[in-house]
Amino acid sequence: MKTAISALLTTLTLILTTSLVFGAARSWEVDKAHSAIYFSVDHIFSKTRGHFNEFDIKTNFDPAQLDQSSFVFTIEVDSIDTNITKRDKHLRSADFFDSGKFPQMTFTSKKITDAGDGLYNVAGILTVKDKDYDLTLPLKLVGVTEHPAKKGTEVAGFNGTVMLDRLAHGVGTGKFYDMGVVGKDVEILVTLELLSSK
Amino acid sequence: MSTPSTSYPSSEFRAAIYRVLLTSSLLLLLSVVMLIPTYYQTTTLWYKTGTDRVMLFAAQYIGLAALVLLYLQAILSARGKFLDQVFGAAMLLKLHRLNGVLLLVLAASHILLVLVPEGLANLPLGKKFWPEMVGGALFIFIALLVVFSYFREAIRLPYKTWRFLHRPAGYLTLGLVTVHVMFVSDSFEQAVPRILLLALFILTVLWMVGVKFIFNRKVSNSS
Repeated sequence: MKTAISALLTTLTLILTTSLVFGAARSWEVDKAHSAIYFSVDHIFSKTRGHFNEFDIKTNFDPAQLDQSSFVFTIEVDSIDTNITKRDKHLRSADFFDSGKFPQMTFTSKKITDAGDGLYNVAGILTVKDKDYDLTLPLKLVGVTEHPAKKGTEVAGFNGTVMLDRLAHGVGTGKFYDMGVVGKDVEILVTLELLSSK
Repeated sequence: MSTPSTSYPSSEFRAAIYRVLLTSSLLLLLSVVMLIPTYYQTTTLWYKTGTDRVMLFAAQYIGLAALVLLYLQAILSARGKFLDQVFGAAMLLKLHRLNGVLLLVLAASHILLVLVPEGLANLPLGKKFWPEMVGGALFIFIALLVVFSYFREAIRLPYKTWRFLHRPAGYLTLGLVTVHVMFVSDSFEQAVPRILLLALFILTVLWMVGVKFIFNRKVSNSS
């Protein structure tokens, strides 16, 4: 009995020590009120802009521990918002996202590399309509500072843009692109404020 | 010198004339309302092609036919001396029951024809789709009204209880359909369709109020 307890304590100590030494990088929580995933796509001549109201981002990030850092984005497709309800309904439909069948899009980082000058290339897997695509999201670390309005908390800011070919990602069949109505290249702007206790 | 003889048409002949006039007016009204999807096309239709476009167009026509028939249903249920004399109480009741079933079929077809092009899994649920959800509630009300009316005896629902529930639920559908049509379709953001819809709603309500409180309500109370 004594031996068993001793073995258990040793194991627990070992696990704890290992996680402290080799554990994940600092954990951050997304400040949803000041973070957004915007998109912009051509409509004949103009730009149609929108965003997703509901998303979650789980982040572990430390510039000194990039191999332990990660970003996991989960976007609720139904929350798409272009300020026109009819258009949102159409974007949710089978013509585009088919959100009833595929309610979420995710981006899970696999590797983060430092490109210098505060730029980090977050390479990972983008899952759209249950299909996986390789994607590198360049995120610029704008800064890390003590939150001016929340003591004991640090805020990290990231901005990044990436261009996606929606047709290559199964969002639409190309019907509206061929008609000259909706463009195929979608500009994505990710702007984040992440919070972490000091 | 002979005096000219004055002959008035019989009451049956007059009733027949009124029946033709009322039926023609209903058909004319249906035709006018049916012009709305063509002349005041919704932007949703711009982005529908092929079968999807046909289905959405059909959904709009069917939905508008259901709108007119729902107003007619309220008028039939209110009856009034004039309608009783023209059609007879038994015929009005028959028409009311038949129209109820037709409404349920049209409403179900409308929903299917709207949802299929969007993908049946993509139901418009949530706060921002409230006009669509009002439509969903309206369908449930119509279905319950029809089912409970047809199976009242089978489920042993007392007549007084049924009538107590049927009337207010019927009035509610009138309000729901007006709100649903007014806000679900951008065709009704245009002045003419909006005024037409409001005029139809107001006239229907006036008819009901008039029959109940002003004019002689009914010739007989059989129902």
